Amino acid sequence: MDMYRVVEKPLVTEKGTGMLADGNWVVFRVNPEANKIQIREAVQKIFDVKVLHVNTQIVRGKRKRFGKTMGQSKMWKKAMVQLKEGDKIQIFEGV
Amino acid sequence: MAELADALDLGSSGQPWGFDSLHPHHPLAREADSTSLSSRETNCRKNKDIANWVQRHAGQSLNIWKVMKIEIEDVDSCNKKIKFEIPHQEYDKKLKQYYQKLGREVKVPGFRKGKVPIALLEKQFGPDVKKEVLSNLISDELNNAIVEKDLRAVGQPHLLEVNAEEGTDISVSASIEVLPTVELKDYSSIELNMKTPRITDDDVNQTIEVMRQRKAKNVDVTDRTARDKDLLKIDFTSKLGDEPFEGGSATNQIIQAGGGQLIEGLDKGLIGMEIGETRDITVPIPEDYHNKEIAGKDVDFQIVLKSIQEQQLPDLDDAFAKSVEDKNFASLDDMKQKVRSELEDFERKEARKSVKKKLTEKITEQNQFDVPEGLLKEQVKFMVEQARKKQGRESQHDHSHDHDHDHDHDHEHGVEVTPELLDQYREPAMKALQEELILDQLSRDLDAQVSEEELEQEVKNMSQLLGGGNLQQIKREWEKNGVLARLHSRMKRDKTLDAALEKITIKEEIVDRKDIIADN
Repeated sequence: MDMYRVVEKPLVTEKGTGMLADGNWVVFRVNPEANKIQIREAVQKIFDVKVLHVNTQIVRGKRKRFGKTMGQSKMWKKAMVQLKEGDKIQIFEGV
Repeated sequence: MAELADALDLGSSGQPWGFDSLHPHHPLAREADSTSLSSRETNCRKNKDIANWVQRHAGQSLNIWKVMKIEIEDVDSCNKKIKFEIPHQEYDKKLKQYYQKLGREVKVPGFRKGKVPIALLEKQFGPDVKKEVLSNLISDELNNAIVEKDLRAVGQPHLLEVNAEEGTDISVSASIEVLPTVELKDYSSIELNMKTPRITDDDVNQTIEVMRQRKAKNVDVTDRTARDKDLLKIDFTSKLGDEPFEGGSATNQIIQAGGGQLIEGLDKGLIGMEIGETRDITVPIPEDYHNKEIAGKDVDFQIVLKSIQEQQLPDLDDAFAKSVEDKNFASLDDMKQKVRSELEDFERKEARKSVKKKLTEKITEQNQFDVPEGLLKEQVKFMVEQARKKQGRESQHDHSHDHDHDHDHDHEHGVEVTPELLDQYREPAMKALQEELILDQLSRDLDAQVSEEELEQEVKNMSQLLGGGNLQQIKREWEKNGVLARLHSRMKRDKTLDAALEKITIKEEIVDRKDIIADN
């Protein structure tokens, strides 16, 4: 799979910021089809960092109702990637 | 600076304000002894809070103290240049405070409100925040500087130069217009004539005549024809050519013959009519009559006179004098006397007023000085606005017209001061401002103050004139729309001039009224 299709976008959230501070974890939204190995390779290539661990999680879509019709937002895959100490990805840095 | 003094004082008197250190005779301690444990604890905590507060505030005040390194450069009597530096620590502190405040307010996706990290805020809002904080800081410090150096600033300071780089102190220079300090020349040698018109018997009689007319009774008359000044009850119809027109007829209309309320010619034409008589009158309507339909045309009126009433004035005697309300005249003679003294009082006040005006003009002539350009522009703007408003009111009287006018008027409020207007109004505006400044200085020299009580009294008087009402409410209202401030300044002005009049020589004389008119 094309590595630019693996990593979809970075997630900057309250929880993610905490994880970044605690253990140099960064969080992405990734292609649901991608596996941990593909994610690791992609992150290492794109951002030029060393990846230690990849944890993934399927985020189930939420049920939304619009009046009578039920809808469901899409499920997606979240990947938490631990970087080597000292490695950084600019997007996640404050300044 | 007051803050600093207060804080230090508190600190020295009870620095470690723990509960233990309170002496037994201390009222707080005694109180605590006799109360429960929990209230002791609150006392204790309160004391610690105060100590903390003292420390915090003492620190802060000292910081502000340190900030100010202000240089003032005189350009001329009305223009000053201010230079000062703001330490970058101050800037950083303000920046942090701003981010904290911002963090509580903005919503960033992925974060709960108030939980956004400052680093992220800096990334997102950095440039704007910095600009805002800097300009706030500068204007704050500028105001501080103005207060500290006791400049009487006019209008907004104008920033000339700001040197701000990351991590260095910020140096600011600004130009500002100030009120010139006026050194009043000695005015005690001024001599003014105060001319009070003599009150003649005619004046008194005229006033009494007005009272009589107010007391006049309308009496039905049946045995004669209509005369000038009679009140006539009529029915009338009117025709323009052969056609009746709208509003051209009425029944039981009461009009005064020769009173001038009606179209000229019409009420004159009624004179000599008998009750029950019907008369046809053709009247040319004047060109400027408000009803455009008939203006400038001849209208035929058919009028039926129904009744005549005559105004009967009360006889001039003691009974009439006693019947005048609110005055308590004991007799006719008493009335004449009192009316005379009232008139004299009035004239004296008027004379004093005009002397005051003359004095102001004289002092202004003696002391010539420049007025800041900005202030002059403000004054010109104000004067133009006033003039336009007046014009607007007059034109409103002239035509009956549509609502749009009011809207137009509102737009006109932001008058643009063009160079032409400035030229046109420069002289009077300059004079008005000079007068204002001189009076201001005069009031300071003479220490003329208007106390709260005096103001209160004046408000009371005026509210009574206006028909009473809740005093507090009126005061609040006036405070809001600025009437109170105007009243205050007017009273201050009056008092100042009163005091100033004491210092100069006034030659009082009583003259005939026509001489005064000729004089002015």
